[in-house]
Amino acid sequence: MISRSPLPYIGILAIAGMVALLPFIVSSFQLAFAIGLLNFAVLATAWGLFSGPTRYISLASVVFFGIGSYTVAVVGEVMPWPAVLALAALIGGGVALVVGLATLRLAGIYFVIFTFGLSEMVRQLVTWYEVNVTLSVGRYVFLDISQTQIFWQLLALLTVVMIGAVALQRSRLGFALRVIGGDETMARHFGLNPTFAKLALFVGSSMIMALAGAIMAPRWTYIDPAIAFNITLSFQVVIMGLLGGMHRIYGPLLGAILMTFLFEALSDRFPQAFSLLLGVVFILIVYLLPNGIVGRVEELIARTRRKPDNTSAGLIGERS
Amino acid sequence: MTEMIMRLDRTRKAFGGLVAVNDVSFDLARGEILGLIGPNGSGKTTTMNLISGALRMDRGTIELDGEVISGLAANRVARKGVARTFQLLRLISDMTVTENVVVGMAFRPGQPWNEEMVARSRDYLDIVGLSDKADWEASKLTYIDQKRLELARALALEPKVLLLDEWLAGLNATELLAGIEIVRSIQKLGTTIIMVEHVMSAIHSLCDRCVVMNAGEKIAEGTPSQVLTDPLVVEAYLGEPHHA
Repeated sequence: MISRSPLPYIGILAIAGMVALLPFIVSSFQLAFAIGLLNFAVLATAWGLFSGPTRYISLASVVFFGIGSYTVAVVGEVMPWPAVLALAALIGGGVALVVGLATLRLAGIYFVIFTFGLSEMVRQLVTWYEVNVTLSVGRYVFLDISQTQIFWQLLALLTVVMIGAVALQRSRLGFALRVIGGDETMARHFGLNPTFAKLALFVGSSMIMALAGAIMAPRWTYIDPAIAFNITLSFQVVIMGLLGGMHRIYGPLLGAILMTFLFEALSDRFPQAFSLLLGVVFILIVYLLPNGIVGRVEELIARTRRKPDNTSAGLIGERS
Repeated sequence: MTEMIMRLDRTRKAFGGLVAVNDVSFDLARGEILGLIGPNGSGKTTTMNLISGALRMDRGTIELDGEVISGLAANRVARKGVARTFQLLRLISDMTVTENVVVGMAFRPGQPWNEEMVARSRDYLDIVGLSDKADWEASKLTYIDQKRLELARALALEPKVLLLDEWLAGLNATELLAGIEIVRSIQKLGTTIIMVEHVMSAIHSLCDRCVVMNAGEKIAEGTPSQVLTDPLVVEAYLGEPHHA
């Protein structure tokens, strides 16, 4: 529960260091694929950070991702890049704070519906604003940021998020979230404020998503609300989290890696039936892997270990 | 006169037209065990929920060590020093026994987040007799052991006042004796206890005083033998006597 071992941090940094060399050896097509993968890895990990311990399924990933992208489209050419990123994170966090205050008292299922509605509402609002105020629906993003730079920025973000996730899991807040996920009523009676803890995590997770959206924006050159706030992205992130297993830090990451390859294969071979196949994959995961791949593997390990354990547990049980 | 640690002053709670707790007042002396008894539906558990902040009361005040705690949310009441057990056990089943005890400790005001909590959780497990199962997953424990764990977790909060909600219910005769000894040992450590209980033998052997409730009102207060022979109390439990 309380661990101070630096090994996970060293491992994350070492892997990130090796991955950072990829742009020197891969083709530009492969680099583009890797950028997509890193983007999903960041989004799924950020999603799991909030949804894993609280068990609130959020379909609002694209809201914060889109806010990040739009921030770049609006102020990208008039502000220095670090300031643009900071602003994107702040706006994403601000919206998350308002949304969280309004919704985190809702029970799980209502929260899902709310976040789904929220992404549609934000998309319509931005469209309305662009049509009526700026009088142009799309925007161009002309920034001098190369594919390689996008790759490195996403990798740096993912590294920070992973290190943050490990640190969180070891912290009192991380423990608090496990307690709240276990039994919210009980948690209140032991000095915890569940609303505050959930809100803090929702805001943090949303800021990461906004950053990912901002970093990805220069890739598109043209964005409009339908691109930036495409709800499919939210579903993809949820599928990745569920496939990998949302109760472990590296679960969503694993899911993101496997799913990105699968999405690529599906959209390459069956471009017409992509959404349909996505739905089928979703159903299969929920049926066959309720706790994700990580959960399934842990189950299998526990089952092979259980046999010798059973006898000793029985003996102790008899003694009491 | 012994020092007072908690005072309920005309606390009232109604659910729609049903007055569950009707202007109930009583004092709690430091170090005593107070039994809160009465027939089913008399308002005992509601009173406990008012003290612990689970329910907001309509009027009246509750003081802890001279400080008003009524109106505070449950998490703030806990941090002021009121711990409770739950009638229907509320353990985190996929955590170990030790981790469940740390839940009680980790969110106290001023508690640092360190290894020492794990070592200290052993002290509380010793008190309830569960230290040999410290590494077990909570879901693997028997019913009585889960009850012991509920109590150890509440103790880990190092409360000024401990609320036991039918903690002795559902135990067999041997387990009951063990349970009574555990509660007594906690009192000896200096914790003040309010217990809601139906088991009369436990009330007789443990409680210094009893408050008897019926239909939301306090109908008697005194030592267990005084209140249990009080005609009003007998009537509340058994109904009006028939006169031939």
